[in-house]
Amino acid sequence: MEKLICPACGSSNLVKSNYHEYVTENIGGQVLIDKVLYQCPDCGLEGDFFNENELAIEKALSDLKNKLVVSILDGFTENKVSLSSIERALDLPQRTLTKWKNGASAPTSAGIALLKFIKLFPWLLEVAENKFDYEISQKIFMGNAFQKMISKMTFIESEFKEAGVITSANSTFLYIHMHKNEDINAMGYGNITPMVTIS
Amino acid sequence: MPKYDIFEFIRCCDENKNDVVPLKSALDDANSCFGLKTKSNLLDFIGNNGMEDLKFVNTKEWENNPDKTFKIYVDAYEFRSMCNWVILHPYIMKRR
Repeated sequence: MEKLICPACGSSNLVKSNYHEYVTENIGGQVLIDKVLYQCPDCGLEGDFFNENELAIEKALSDLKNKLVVSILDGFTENKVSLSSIERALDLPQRTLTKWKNGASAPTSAGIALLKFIKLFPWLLEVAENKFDYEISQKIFMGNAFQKMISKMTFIESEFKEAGVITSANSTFLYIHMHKNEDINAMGYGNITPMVTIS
Repeated sequence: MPKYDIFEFIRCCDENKNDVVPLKSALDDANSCFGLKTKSNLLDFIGNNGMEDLKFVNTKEWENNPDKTFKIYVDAYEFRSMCNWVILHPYIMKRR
């Protein structure tokens, strides 16, 4: 058997050990795998000097990505967004996503990145549906941003009746409807609904 | 002045991957800083000129070299990828 030597100092006193470590796939979760570590007692360096961990890591990542793809596609189906309509909007060949879901074919890294983006930002499908028109995309983006902003804002119930965002393909309105209140001072908006429009 | 040719190292990462050995520290940092999870990913990234704005920092003699008759130096560089700046220390080396 070929003697294993340290690639840095040439020592043949390498010490091999095994350990467990998590392999993480961004939003795809993590899995614990066995790994090998070589340590050189003469120079102190350590690492996987003979590429023994590569296959295990790659398999773990592949499994995590496959589960992530199924999870994302199931999420759309559960929210009544058909895979066929996603394929149409993104100009993918029909049944591409079904094949990914069933394991009949595997998405490329680019395909997985695309799925991650539309999972995080489902409004991107609306952008695609509108043929990636720049002006419309901006309105869709800002409409979603306003909705997020409104959901994070704290309104004093006694002063604000309602707030929300209305969007269409042509324009986006952010409205805040305030109660009539004579004590509301400086802005004088006691009985007027202020609005911000983007058109 | 660096002791070794960094571009020869980058070429090795592209064309002679078996001659390059990333240490555990390098792989751990590559994963945490850049999401590069395997040796292949890391060397492909380097070999594809992924290290932007590469700048030489300094060079030092390798202190832990057990063979004091044969001097080995380590060149340190800093580089950027997207928004992350990193110092490339001697965590990756060429196989003897």
